[in-house]
Amino acid sequence: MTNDNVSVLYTWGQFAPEFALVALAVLILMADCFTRLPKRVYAITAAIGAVICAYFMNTEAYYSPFGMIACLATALVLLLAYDYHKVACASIGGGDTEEGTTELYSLLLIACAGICCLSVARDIIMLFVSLEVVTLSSYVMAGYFRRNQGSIEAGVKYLVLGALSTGLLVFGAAWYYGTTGTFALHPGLLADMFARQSVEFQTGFYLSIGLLLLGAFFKAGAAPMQIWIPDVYQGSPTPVSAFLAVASKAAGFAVLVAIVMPFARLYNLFPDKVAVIVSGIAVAAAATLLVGNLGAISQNNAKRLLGYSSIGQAGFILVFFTNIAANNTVQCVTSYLVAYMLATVAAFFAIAMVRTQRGSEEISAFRGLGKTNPRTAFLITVAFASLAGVPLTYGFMVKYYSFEAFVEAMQYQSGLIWLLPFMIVGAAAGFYYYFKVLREMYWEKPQEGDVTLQVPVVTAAVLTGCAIAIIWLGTAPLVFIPN
Amino acid sequence: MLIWLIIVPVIAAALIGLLKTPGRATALVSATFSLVLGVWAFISTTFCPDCCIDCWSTIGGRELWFSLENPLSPIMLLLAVIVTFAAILGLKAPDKDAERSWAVSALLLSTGAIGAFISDNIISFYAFHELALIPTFVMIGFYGRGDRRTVAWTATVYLGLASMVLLVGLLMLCNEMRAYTFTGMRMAIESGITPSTGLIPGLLLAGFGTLVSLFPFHAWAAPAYASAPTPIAMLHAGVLKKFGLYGLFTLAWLMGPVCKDFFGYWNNLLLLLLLGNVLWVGFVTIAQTRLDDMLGNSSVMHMGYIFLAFAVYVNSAGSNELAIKGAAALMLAHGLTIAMLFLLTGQIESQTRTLELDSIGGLARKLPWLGFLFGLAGLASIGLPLLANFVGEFTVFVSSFVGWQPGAAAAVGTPDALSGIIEWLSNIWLIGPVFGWIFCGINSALSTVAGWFGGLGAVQLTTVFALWGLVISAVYMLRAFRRIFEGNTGLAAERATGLNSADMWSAIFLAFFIVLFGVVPTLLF
Repeated sequence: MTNDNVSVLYTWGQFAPEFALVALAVLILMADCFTRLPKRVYAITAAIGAVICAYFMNTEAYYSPFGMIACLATALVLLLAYDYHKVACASIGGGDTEEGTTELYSLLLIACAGICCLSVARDIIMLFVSLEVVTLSSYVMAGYFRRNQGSIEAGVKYLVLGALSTGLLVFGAAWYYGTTGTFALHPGLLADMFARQSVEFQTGFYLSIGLLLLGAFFKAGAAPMQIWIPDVYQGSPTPVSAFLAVASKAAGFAVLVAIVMPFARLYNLFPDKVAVIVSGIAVAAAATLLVGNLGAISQNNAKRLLGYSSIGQAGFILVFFTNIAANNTVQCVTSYLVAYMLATVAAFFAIAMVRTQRGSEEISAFRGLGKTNPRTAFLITVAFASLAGVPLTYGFMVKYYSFEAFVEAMQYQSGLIWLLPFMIVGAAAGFYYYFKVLREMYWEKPQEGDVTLQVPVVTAAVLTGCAIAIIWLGTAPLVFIPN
Repeated sequence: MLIWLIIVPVIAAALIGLLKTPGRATALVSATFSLVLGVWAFISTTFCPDCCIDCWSTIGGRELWFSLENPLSPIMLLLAVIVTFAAILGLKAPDKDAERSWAVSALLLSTGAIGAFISDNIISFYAFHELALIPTFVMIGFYGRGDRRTVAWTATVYLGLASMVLLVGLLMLCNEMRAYTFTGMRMAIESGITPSTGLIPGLLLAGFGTLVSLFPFHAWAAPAYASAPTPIAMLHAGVLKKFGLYGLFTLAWLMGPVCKDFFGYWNNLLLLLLLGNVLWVGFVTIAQTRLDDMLGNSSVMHMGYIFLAFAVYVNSAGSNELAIKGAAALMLAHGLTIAMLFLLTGQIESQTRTLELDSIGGLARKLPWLGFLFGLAGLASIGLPLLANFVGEFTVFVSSFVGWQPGAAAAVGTPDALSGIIEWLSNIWLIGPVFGWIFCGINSALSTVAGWFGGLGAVQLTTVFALWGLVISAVYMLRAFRRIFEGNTGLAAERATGLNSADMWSAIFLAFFIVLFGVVPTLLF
């Protein structure tokens, strides 16, 4: 691709927030070398930087909804890392030394910058390079607790499976270039492709799209590329699991949007050809819903449960892509991601708190919280209720949007009806497995020696903030008629 | 203004749950407020329909998704506030912690029900009902009787699955009609858009039907009511369960003449299923040996009558005003009665520490007031004239013969779900011929019977069978009364120490309304 094309697709100025994030990451590393501040100061600084970036992502000049989600998620994860500091020290340096914790914070910032670039990518090269920025930092972060066997295992598994998916992505990119003669993802080019090229060419083109989708599915945690998720989430340090669950998933869907949405405007011109891609996504959505939700039922480890839950939720997000003919698909996907982020981050904060004080990440470690910490238990209840899709939480609203999108999609492609049972079973199963946590909190009595949990200030603030946002966003649309 | 019915209980629940204010007292303040506002709303919409339409559905100039334009809404709202007040007035928990949890759950449960009954937006309507399922689940699992966890899970899985089916049905309907509010849907119907039949009404009937414990989806209901703590059982059986019927009637009402085409395909199957409720579950009820199991089953059984009213309404293509009014009266009456029965059951249990019918006996000697009130509620439940249930049941049964003339049997041969299923069964290899033969036998027997009565249609014939439900009710209710309150004083009854008057007020409060609507039924029509 020539220089001219690049300048058409992107301007240097539009990447200002990303540059700022990377600069901050480097600054933190340098400051860590030359000063003796407590390391946790850096976590707070980084979080503030990410929040400021999130603000700019919402302005017209740098508008990028996925980038905003990623920045907010990164800020929350940094706060979580701050709270998780004690476990981190023990698992990285051994003992109480803080040595080597700062790099985690700057890696998070760099990964976040990668996601932000990704979300504005309009061609495959940009997509690939920024995706690799995210992925490479994530490999390091997953194995960051080098004294913890689970973390090392998670890092290696993630590396091996991630390399495979990168390979598929590159292969897909090559086919894309070979069949279309360009790396740009643009509706006009695709229309030409469908109109002029022969069937053989188009078969190669579908292959390229399929491979690119598989690469995106890996990040988004959708079947058939979801295998890494439970092990990696369980093994990784909790803040990193939270990052993978939220920010990295947003990256996956940003890639998916970049690849799929150019087809949206072709629906009227080439309904049959676009329908092939939509059907492919529908099959993946069904498989994802099934694997994620049924797999979650038998889990006893809270982080693993959230891993399967993240697969299940990805299934509901994929359903939005069956309705790409509607012009609100991106908005729906980002709403769903926001709802998922609020609830999942809160859940990871709760897990980190329980892990720090009760030494276990099993669901049974939540036992009796309803008695010992009723207020915290209530906030955790809101988060899990939102994940399950209980009404009057934001989680319900977005799940409803998903069903609504599906019902609308059936107008274009009535053959998709077979997806419906998968959605129903997935949503109903969600009630079962998310409520396992509530059951531990309210039905089980605290055991001998279970003391009241000391809720750290940051955790309390984040849990409260998430709960308020979840309830307000879930209730307001059902009570007030929009003006 | 209707939004205060949501905000106040939620604030009260938050005060109790998060700030540890006294459970019963705080909840009582909130319930009294709701009672006053709810009764006021009922009176103002019943006696002066045009006085204040907008003021109910706005707050501070902002429009809400709430309204009382649906004729069933005020009645259901009235039911909800009365039962909530009674449930909280009669709240008697084992300890302070339990009292707080019970009060919070009762408030949230009733908020969910009220929100559903006053919502104009179909998604709010659905969402508020779903919300109410959470406290039910938690309370049965934590404070229930017997095998409480299994019961709680069974109910959750049943209701969760049904809700999903229902949501899909509602969404498909909304999408077809391009309207997401009841008002909008009504306007769409008036402008000539007709919904497609077949799958959508099937999903709606299955979804709503499971929530109302329509046979054969009723297995969750009786154990859940039997196991739930008293206020939860009162509110769920009395109020929340009516949500499904309210939804069906509202849809049929706003569709008007179209409703026959819409639901008609399933009507014959529905008639068969509701007979399952009345007769099958009726006999199951007779066989129960515990009072709570018996009441749980009886509540399932009585839903059959209201489904009958629905079938009549659909069959008349929305012209049968009597059916919908009778159904509304019956829903109100049944809600009050079953709530009162569960309330008194809680008191019997707290006095005798058992609910086995055989081990109590002669309780009326020790507690005459309890005996009197239980007798009153029991007779109301059977359908004794001058009590509210009689008004509803009588109207429903009469409505099924409105417009029917001797000899004018319903047209035979229209395609419907029932004949579809029978045809499908009779095509199965080997079983088919046998089944077809049996079916032919039943069919000719039925037409012979119908001929004796001068050519009854399917609806009228069902009514004739359903009438036997009255006899069944009388059998189990009177037998239960005899075993508990009459005869020699049993060992369990000896334990009774007497009730203080505060425990009686809640039941008397409910009894007042049962008698009021029985004596002055015109309030509801």
